[in-house]
Amino acid sequence: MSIFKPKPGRTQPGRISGAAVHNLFSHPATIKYIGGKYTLDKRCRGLIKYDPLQCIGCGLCMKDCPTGAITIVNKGTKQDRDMHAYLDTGKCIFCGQCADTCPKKDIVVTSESDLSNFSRDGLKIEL
Amino acid sequence: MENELVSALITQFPELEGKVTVSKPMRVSVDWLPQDLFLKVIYWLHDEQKLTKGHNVIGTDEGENLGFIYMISGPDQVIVILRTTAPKSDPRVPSLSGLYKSFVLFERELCDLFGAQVTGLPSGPRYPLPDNWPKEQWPLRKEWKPENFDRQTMTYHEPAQPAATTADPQQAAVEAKTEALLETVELGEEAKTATAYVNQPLPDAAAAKPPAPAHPEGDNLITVPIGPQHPSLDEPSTFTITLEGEKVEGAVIGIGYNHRGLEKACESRTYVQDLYIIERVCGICSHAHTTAYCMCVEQLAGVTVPPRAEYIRLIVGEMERLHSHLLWLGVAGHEIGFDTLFMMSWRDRERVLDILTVLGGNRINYGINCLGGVRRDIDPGLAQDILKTMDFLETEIEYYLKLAETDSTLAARLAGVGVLSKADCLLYGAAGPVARAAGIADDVRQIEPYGAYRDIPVRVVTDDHADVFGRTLVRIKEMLESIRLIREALRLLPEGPLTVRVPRRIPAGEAIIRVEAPRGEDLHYLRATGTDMPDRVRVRAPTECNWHGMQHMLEGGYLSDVPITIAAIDPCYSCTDRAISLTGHSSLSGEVLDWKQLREYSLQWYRQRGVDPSRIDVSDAAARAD
Amino acid sequence: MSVLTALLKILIFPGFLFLSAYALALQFLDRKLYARLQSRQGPPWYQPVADFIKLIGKETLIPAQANQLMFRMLPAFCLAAMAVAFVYIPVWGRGAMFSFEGDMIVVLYFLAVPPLASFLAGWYSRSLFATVGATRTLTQMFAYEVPMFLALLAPTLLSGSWSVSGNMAFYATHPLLVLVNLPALVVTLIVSQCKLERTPFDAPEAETEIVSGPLVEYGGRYLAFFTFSKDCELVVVLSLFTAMFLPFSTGISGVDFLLYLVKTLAVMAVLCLLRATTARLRINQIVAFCWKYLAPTALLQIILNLVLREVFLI
Repeated sequence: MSIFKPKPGRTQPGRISGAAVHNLFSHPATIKYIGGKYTLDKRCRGLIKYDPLQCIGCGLCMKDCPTGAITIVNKGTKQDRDMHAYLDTGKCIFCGQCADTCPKKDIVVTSESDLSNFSRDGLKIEL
Repeated sequence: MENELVSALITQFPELEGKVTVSKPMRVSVDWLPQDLFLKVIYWLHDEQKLTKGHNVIGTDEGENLGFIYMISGPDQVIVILRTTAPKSDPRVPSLSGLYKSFVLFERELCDLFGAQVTGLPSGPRYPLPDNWPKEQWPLRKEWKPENFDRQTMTYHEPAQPAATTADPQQAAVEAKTEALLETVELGEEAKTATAYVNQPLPDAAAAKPPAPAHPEGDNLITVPIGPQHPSLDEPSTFTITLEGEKVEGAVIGIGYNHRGLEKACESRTYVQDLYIIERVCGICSHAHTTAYCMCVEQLAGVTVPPRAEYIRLIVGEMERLHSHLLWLGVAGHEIGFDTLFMMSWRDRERVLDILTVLGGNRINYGINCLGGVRRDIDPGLAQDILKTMDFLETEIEYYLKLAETDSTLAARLAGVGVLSKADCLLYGAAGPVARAAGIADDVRQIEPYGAYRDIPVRVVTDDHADVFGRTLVRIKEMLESIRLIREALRLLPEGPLTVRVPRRIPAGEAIIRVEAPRGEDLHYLRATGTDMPDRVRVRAPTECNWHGMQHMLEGGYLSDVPITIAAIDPCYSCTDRAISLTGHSSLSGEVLDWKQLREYSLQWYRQRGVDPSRIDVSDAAARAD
Repeated sequence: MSVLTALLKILIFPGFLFLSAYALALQFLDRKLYARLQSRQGPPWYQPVADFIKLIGKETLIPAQANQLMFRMLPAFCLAAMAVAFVYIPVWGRGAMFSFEGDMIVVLYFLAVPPLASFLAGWYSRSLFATVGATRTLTQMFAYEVPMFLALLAPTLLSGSWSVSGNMAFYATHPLLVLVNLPALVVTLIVSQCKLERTPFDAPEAETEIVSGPLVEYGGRYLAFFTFSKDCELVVVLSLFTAMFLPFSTGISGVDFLLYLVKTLAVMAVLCLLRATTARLRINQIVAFCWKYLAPTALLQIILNLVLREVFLI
């Protein structure tokens, strides 16, 4: 290797020891595995909220959903609407695009995130 | 610069008159050329005009023909876009990897995804599709529809002729599987002998060849496989390292395990849906990729993003750089066994992620970009939080800089390792911090400022160590620069709207956008045909450029330095491999298990050992949880 | 001493049972301290025991190409060597359970068993990473054995006794002479880290390079006993270190035992700090470091001690 290789300057071992000892006497950055509490900020994206009364059934949210997680069904008639929204939380990627797309601002993103379930069918919920 | 080049081209090649245009500042676009003329032009540009940096090769489907789009640039950084075609009946195209070393991976992609026959391409491992991918299946051709492809058996059913219904469906399935196995790709003789590497050995090959002895006698060479699964790799890839003692004598790099078919997926979805696919190209530089994609769409739609949105994009982009570099510092520490540095830098990275969570709504895929602007605003309270975090991070990062410069064990492990000199960087087309550590001021934010970088100029950090030590210093100093940019952007944050309406149908055209991701230059190509779905999306992540120099960096070093040398380019395997989910592709024994069979198998496995997990009533547990 | 009390001493206190309990306790304290230095919570106190029990319950797989007998025997061999070595080191009071003139050499030789067992384990696993790890273990052993022997011989040359207990008795009467051995103390401290294969000298089991070196094929109860004997090795090395270089004692057995605990814990803390603040060195750097700096220092110490003994203490 003929190229010029500058070497690092004066060095000493264990330069991090000061910070390491400082860590010893400060509060740990991690939380306890059992019993530790972690709270998500309110501004995090989580489960969406849906109001059937305002929905006009345009279906734009279904069209724009990247994963096809949301389904909106009108179980009534055109005049007397009975809207239902179903969400497959196993497919949902919590991007919030449906809330952005909705022309009536009928879908709202909440920070609800405890959605795990023991069965795959249990992940499909009605909003 | 662009016009000079155009006039020089036309003087040299009069037949190009009317075919060369300056499509946009810094872009010279040449129309489709026949192959012989194309070759003359590219050789002339390389030899006479010194356009020696190869950015990308893009394959496209032009109906009857295959299109090949080459992007090269020279010292003045103007990207010249050259195009040539080949008919699908005879898709031959000469390899330019002798001219541009960085075209090897791109040309392999052409072979695998478009079925182009690139003549003169050096033999090597297949990339990016798996070795058992059936012959004559080129997924990025338009006539290839993913829904006709059976992932279980790896067979493609022509839609015209629906699968023949035999009397015994089970027998048919077995036959289909056998056929799929028979159809697995045979590597050429040359490729077989040239490299020891295969993604997965073919069934008969594995049976025929006895396993290599762990203690080879006669010569002193041993071959160590680093990967596909190895503690120092965060994503699968194979480095076949030939060792003499502890010294690395040869290295063969195999990547392509993470090919997810994103580019094909983008072609069948709308522009809005694609945004979320592009965001998931990479876990770390999600913002850089979406910014590039949004800029492509916005350029084609002809809309101008409001300034406030551009500033917010800059702030998030720089925060992403901070979190990416802090992550890298931790990984580098872990690779060399310095776990305290690992834990401390990741602790500080959490502070950045906390801010990004609040800002975007998610830790990693922030989803702050939308077509035509950004989705969320920075309110004064949040701005205060960001500034506070920046003050905290500045002291921490200055401490890391001091540490990296003065700690002797770090210096012992980093200095002189994985050297890629300036000349080699240019030859292999290295990008990002790898190039900057060799003294090349290669930073898109400065070469071709976009968005808010036009108002806030960037001071490019370079170093002349050209080794892992230099890359460490460059990354740490870049973090300090990012903090400065964030403070500046928050100070100058203009008032105004956040988004501008982007139509659902994008007018026909093509856009080539460069964005500086934390790992280097991120190049996006988007072609629209006037519908609400793109015609072709090509994502070239920075890591794809940096792979080419890897073999050079590894050889001559020590086995102990292999992990840190790999880590030092900050490789993002999924970025490189991007692009049909391969769940359940046939395993070695040729047996394909689906989800249900796998579950059956695991239940049986436990029963043999006296445990009966089926008695655990899952539905009951679910009911209680509700 | 009747046979029964001797047996009780060897098996229960301060013999094998104490060694086991203290090894697990030290492992916990080491991990906890390491975690706190890195700003982490660290494991709960029962983690080493939980790990051990879990490993015992796991299925044991032995590679088809491995030498079955050696594969099974080595962990027990390693553990037995540590249990025997511990017998000759004073824990309760000034004297060890058993001692004779020259027992320090015996302890040193038993201490050479774990790296050898580790090497053989790696070699007979017939696995690629294990082989590379085994070679590194042996290379490293050749690097640190000489400085370690030289540095540990230095205090005995001054005291004139080649027994650990005799050495302790000598320094109890001449406490100030301990200061003479300071260079050897530093050398032994670094060499202990090297012997225990902890960062910066953990090249033989470098996780990110060669997965985990010689023990890569081990699992289940064999791994449990191997890791357990490594913990015992930590106790033996720490005990030997304190007996040789920090031989302060009061003569009251209970107090001396407490003093022993305090001393070993303090040395463990220093070793843990060393582990937390360094990056792993390459094997060639380790060899160079041991031979360039540690061996000459230890040799100088020996010359110094010989001269001192000739001049002052004849």
